[in-house]
Amino acid sequence: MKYLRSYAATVVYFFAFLAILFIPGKLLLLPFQEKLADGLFGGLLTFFSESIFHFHTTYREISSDSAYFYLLLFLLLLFALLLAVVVEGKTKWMTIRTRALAGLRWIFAYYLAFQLLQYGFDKLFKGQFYMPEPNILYTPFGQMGKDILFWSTMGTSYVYNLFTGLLEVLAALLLLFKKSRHVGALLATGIMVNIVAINFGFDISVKVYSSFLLLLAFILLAPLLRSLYVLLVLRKQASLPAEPSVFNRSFPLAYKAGLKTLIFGFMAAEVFFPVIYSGNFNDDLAERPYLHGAYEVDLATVELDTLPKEAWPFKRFFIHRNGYLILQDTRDQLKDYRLQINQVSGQFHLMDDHQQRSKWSYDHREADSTLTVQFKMAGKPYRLQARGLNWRQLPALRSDFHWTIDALAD
Amino acid sequence: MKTKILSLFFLSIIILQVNAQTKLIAHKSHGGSEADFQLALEQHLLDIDGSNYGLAPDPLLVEVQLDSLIFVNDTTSIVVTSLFSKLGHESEAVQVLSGDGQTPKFNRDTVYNHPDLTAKLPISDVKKRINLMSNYRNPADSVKILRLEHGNYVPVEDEENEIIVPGAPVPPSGGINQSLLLRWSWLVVLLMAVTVSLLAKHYERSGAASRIKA
Repeated sequence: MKYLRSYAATVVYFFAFLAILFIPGKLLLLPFQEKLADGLFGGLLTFFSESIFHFHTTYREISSDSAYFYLLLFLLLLFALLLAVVVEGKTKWMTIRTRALAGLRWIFAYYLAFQLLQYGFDKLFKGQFYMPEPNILYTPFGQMGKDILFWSTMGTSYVYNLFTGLLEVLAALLLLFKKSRHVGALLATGIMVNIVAINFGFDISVKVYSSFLLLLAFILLAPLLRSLYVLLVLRKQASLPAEPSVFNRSFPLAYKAGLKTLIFGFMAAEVFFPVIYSGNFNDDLAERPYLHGAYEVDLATVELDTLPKEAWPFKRFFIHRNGYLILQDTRDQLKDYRLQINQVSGQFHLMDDHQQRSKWSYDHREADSTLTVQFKMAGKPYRLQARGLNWRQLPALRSDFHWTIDALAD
Repeated sequence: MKTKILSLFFLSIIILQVNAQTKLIAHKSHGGSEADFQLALEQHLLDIDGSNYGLAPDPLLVEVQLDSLIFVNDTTSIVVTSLFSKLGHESEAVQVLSGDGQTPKFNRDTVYNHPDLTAKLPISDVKKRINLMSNYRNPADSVKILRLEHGNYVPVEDEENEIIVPGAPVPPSGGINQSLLLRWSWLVVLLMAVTVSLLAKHYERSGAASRIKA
């Protein structure tokens, strides 16, 4: 039983370490890391998917919650099992096991801290839960999936983003230092439990990765559980177990300080480089592209005949900040097109999901924010005149705050 | 000037920058339906790249230029591309340079039995199909289409055009270069580490000295 427990612990540690190495990340300073798993295991993954599990997919990217991502983790678990079989019980391993696992815990703490710093600062800079796009704001609530609803709702509150972001940054900072690591592990576990629950509850496709981060937090917390149980449940005196030192006493302070600075510097560069480079410290205030916004159709004509409202091809359209034109018909159905704007010739160049291209003429009057579009549909020339909507004044984006309900009446 | 405004707007609207989100949320955020998601995924039409776990994206906008298309034979072609990066919507794209900081960084991919990039089709058709592809920043007319014959690159169509083969040097472009900036970041981090390390050594020595004195 003891051997089995020791073996299981080794497997979990090895698996977590391999996952840290091979889960593709987007590291600016180590860009090759993203291709590492595909380069090393690409062939094996294809073999497992086609010959063992018999599933065929043309989408072979190892990214968040893709089938290949699950497969990669399965493969890493197999490697961890094999590796543990090889080392477990060997005298040499048993003499260094305690220190090796402590070393791995040190790596896990730093990795988890790094991820929490990234997510935390992303929230502080409003890069993660960004302000909802105009098309989202004018889509009926019930028509949206739970994931985009959650994402958009979070994007409406800057204060809540600050709160959750600061909490994640705090947990990360606590994890980075030995003295505060236990508190950091406790806080990180609480945060990650909530995130995993959100990802599963709102069907957000970061389920596996967030579960992996929770696993890391739990590995860090596990050595404390017994002491916490004694203290909090049995209400007896308990002391937390001492964490073996990763660096032995003879390890020069200069090397240790240099290594830690290198790691902290790397983390800082990865976290802050994007925002310093773009100068975008609050995405809500970032400049939006030309014509970005929501437009409500006031008048539609076909071959110079005015159309009744129910015959309009669409009632609103939106220009999305990532280069999309989105049409909303009278039944609130949406249709999106990739958009290029030729400002000189006054044309929209559109492409749909099936790569069908078309061109629309447009005329924008800035004085009254009128946007008129002309296009051909079923061989007939349409002309739609629309006015820009003040979407930033919608209730969802107003920074209202009320201490009392009486204030609402005023 | 007109050309500049035109090209700026052509380039600035379709971009790879997105806010932090998952691929599915990115797709839904611009009105994409779940039914179309698989199609967008398989055809790489999503405006979000790489592995995304809900984190913020690289602020550098990256565009791909198709520089040359080389037909090795009827079934095999080599696609030579280079990258352009730019910062934000309004900035001008700058070519990503290779390690020497002088020549563009070219990527060569060999494609087999590609339905569009094949010598089996007339060149005019190949060009039409390149123009229909949404993943390249440049029009088909600017792509050098060559045939590999006895180890030489032979232009397939317009012989008067200058032939740019992979690796040919071009004048270095000005502006911010991503790889250069990242190299500087590494240098700064390493310098910091060395400085702290030296300070620690000094502190250790002075501490030891004061202990001996005591």
